[in-house]
Amino acid sequence: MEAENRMCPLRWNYTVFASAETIDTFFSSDKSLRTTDLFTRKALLLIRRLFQDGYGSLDKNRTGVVLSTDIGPRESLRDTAQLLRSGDYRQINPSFFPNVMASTALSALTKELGIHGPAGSFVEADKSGADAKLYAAVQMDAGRCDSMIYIRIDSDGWGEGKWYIPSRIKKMVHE
Amino acid sequence: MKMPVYLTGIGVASPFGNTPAAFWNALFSPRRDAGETEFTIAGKTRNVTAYLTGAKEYQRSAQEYFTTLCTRAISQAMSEDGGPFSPQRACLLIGSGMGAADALLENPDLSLDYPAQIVRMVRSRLNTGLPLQFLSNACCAGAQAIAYGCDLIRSGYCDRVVAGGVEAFSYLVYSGFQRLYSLDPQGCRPFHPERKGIGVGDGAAFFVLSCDKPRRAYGRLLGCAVTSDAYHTVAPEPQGKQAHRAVRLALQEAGLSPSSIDAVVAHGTGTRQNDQVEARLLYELFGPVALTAPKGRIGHTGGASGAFNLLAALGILKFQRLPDSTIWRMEDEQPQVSLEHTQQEKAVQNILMNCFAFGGTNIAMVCSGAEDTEPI
Repeated sequence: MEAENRMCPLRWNYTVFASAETIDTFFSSDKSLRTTDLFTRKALLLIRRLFQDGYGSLDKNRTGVVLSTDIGPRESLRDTAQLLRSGDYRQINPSFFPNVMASTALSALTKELGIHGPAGSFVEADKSGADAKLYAAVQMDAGRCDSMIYIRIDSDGWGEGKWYIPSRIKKMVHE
Repeated sequence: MKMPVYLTGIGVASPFGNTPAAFWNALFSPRRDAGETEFTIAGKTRNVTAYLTGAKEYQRSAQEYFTTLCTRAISQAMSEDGGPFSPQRACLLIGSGMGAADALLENPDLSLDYPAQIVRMVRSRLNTGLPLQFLSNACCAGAQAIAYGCDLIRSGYCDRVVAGGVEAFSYLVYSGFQRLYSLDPQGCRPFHPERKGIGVGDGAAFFVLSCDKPRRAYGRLLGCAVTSDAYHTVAPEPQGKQAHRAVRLALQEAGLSPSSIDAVVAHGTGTRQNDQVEARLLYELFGPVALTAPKGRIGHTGGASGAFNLLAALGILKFQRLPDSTIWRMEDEQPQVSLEHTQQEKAVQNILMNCFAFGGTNIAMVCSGAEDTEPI
């Protein structure tokens, strides 16, 4: 199922993630993000770099986002599990608990740009992002949105962000 | 109006039985309370109140429990449908909110990419040769897999899709809900004036979606829609604007008006905020409407809940009746909602199903009877 030939990226950004300390420093001045975890911060870093020059006239109802990862919020899950091994539920910080779900990072991405289109998250063992890209292509083919933002975070410390539109639209614009 | 997608196979793993018939029998029977179970987790005894498909299996191995729930339901659905399932024209879509999160409770030294390892394990166990995709989006993961399956078929990528949701009990998540004071000691009471939160359940429900009109089918999916609140990590947007938009888009895709909807299978979590938002949305769109909320019977099955909502809807279509509901009048500041009375025999053709997740993804689906085929 070749999805990438049905879409073309308007923008892209590749990142090798710095250390956790550097990422934390990047977000340290933003108090609204103090309860986010490393996974969500990586996702935000990628979308901010993708749109650092602005996003023009993005139709927020007609734009979606898809997240691909092989690790998910593994650190938050590990930390919560550690708390439970040594104690009980009272040790859990309720503000941090939502970080155990991949939907938290997805929510942060939609909130960042105010996106109301389809949002999905895929666990991809092979780190290719193929499933997430197919989802993006299909959502546009199905008419559910006009563009999709694709974000990938993997266990090798690599991140990728792309803003896709259907190839047929790019073709029409150029013709 | 888009072409309908037929539902031609079902696989179930649930505390109420491992067949659609067993599940529906429980759905239409008097409500039973969730049981209390004692587990030994990380060397400590922990008490849990939940609807559990396999407590002993969970105690043995969380990872194996998740894999078994998932593969059992998928295999059953595929077996009932009979195929063919060509690797070039079919695929598997698994939706789960948490996967096998409790594997980390058992073994803290799991590798960084352990979520991907779970996916590999499921793929290997199923051994179907089909492409397998794993969606993870909290409570709506299963519904999103089903909606995506419809899109894959309608866009011409696939002829057959096996899609659904699975959520194995997670003590990690259970504890989190305890910490958020989101568990109702009296169990889940959707739309009840004194509701205090969710009840926990688990299980798996998978469906075979097909583009070709079959000889026999459980029903048809007419329309789906996905929107995002972009509002809060866990709380729904109070006005329900995007949830409202999801329902309207699903109706539009199905070619139906609100007055054509005969019943609604609500997300109905029993939490104050969700039920307020959903009640207002339903009241504004439909006025009084026949409403059922399966979480009041089976608990909140996390990422599988949207799939169980579809299973409930298919049962309503098959038996042409709604499950027992008590009339509740919500006394929140929101408009009041009355639930349809006990097991009313009502002609039901078109059903709306709602699924609203942590993180703000909203999914609405519309299904109907397979009137142009032989019912299963």
